[in-house]
Amino acid sequence: MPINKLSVLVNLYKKEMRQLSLDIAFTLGAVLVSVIIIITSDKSPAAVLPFIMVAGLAGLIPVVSSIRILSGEWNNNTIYLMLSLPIKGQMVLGAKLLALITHYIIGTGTVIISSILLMFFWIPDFTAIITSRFGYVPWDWFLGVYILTVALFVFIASLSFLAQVLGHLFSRFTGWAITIIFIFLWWLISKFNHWMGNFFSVWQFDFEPAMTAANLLSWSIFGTLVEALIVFAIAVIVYNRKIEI
Amino acid sequence: MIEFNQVVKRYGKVTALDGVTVTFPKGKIIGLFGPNGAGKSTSLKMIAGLSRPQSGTVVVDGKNPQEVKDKIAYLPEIDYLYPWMTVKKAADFVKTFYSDWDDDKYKELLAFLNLGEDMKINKISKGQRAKVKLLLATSRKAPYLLLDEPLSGIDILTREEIINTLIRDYREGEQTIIISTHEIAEVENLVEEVIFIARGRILLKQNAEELRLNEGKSLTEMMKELFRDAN
Repeated sequence: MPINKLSVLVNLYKKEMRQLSLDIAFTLGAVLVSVIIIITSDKSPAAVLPFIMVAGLAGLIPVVSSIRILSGEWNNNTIYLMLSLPIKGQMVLGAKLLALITHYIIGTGTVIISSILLMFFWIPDFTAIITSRFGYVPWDWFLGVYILTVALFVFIASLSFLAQVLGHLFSRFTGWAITIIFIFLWWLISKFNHWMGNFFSVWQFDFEPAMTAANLLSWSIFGTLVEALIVFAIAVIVYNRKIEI
Repeated sequence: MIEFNQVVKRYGKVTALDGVTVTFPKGKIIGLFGPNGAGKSTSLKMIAGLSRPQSGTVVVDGKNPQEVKDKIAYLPEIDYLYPWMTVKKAADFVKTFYSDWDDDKYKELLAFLNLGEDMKINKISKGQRAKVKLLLATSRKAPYLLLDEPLSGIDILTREEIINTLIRDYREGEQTIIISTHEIAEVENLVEEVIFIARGRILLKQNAEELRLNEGKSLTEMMKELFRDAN
C-alpha cells in the first residue's frame, strides 16, 4: 500500500501534540487559576496581576516548547528514529511547527476568551464604553493584531528551529551554540527589518492615519510570514543536508 | 547490494572509518565484527542514511542511502523509542511510514516475543525494550535489516529469543541482514558472510563457512587472532 503523505504528517503532528500535552495543560491550568483568583477576589486591581503574567506566559511557553520539541529528539536519542524514517525535514519540522502553532493558539486563545469574559464580568457596560469611544467595537483590529502575534510566533519558532539545527552541527557546547546563533540571527534579521522599514517607509506617503495603520498592520503580517517562511525553509535545508548522528 | 568506496569518516580527531572499501552482498546474513570503536556502528549509520561520509561514497542498490530509507530497517544499539509510547502506539507510529509493514507478522511476532501491546516503553526492562525494537524492525518486509549490537546487555534467554526471531523471519536470498557485534559467539552459527573491522579499516571479508573450514577455527578465535595482530 503506498504511503499517504497527509497521513504521515497527521501521524507526526499527533506525536508532537502528545509531546506538548504537558506544556498545554500547564498553560491552561495557569489561566484557570488566574481567572479563579480574579473571580473570587473583591475586584481589586492586584488580582489582575497573575492573569497578566499568565497572558505573557501563554505566549512565552510555546517558544520554550520549540526548543524542547526539537532538541529533545537529541536529548532522548529519538533523533535516531526520526532520521531513520523515510521522511524529509519539511515533514519533521512542519509537524513540529504546526503543533507549536496549535499550542500557541490554544494558550493565547484561552487567555483572550477569558479576558473578554472577564471584561464583561468586571465592567458590565464594557461594549458601551468602547462604542462610545470608537463608534464601534473594533473586533477586526483585535483580530488583525492577534494574527500579527501568531505570525510573529511562527517567525520566532522558525528561527528557533534554524538556530537548533545549526547548533546541533557542533558536537560540543551545543546549547551555547544554539543560544549564540539564535541571538545573532535575531540581531541580523532586526537590522534587515530596520533597513527595509526605512526603505519602504509608509510614513513618507500622505495617507490618512487609519489607512496608514491598516497598511502597516497588513504589511507587518505579510512581511513577518514571508520572513518566517524563508527562515523555516533554510532550517529544512540544513536538516536535510547536514544533520547526522 | 551495499557498496562502500573509499569511505572516510572522522568525529573530531577520531577517525571512525579510514578509507573503507567493501561490498555487502545481497540476500545474506552478514556479520560485521570488531571491537568497541572499530567503526561498526558508523558503518551501519551510513547505510541507514543517518550519517554521511566526509569523502568516498556509500550506495545502496546504486542509490544514495538517503533516498532508500524505506528499504532499510535499522535497529540501533541505543533506546530510540519515545518513552511515553506503548508497544501499540510505537507500532502504529512506525507503520505509517512504511508500505512494507505487515500487520499479521507484527501480531505473530508480538506473541512469539511475549510482548503485550499495552506495555509502556519506559516501564519495561532493557531486554523487553530490545525485543520491542526488534519487533518494529522485523514486522516489515524490508530488503535490508541492520542490527547494531542487538544482544548487547541482554540476558541469555532474551538473546536466544532475538536470535530465534531472526532465524524464523529471515527470507533467504531476498533479505540482507547485517549484524554488527563484538559478541561473535552468539551469532557465529547465524552468519553466512563475515567482515572483520578494526580502527576504521576492513581486516578481512570472507564466507563464514569457508573461513571456518580453511582455518579450522571458530570465528571467535579468528577475531581474537586478527585483532591481536592488528594491535
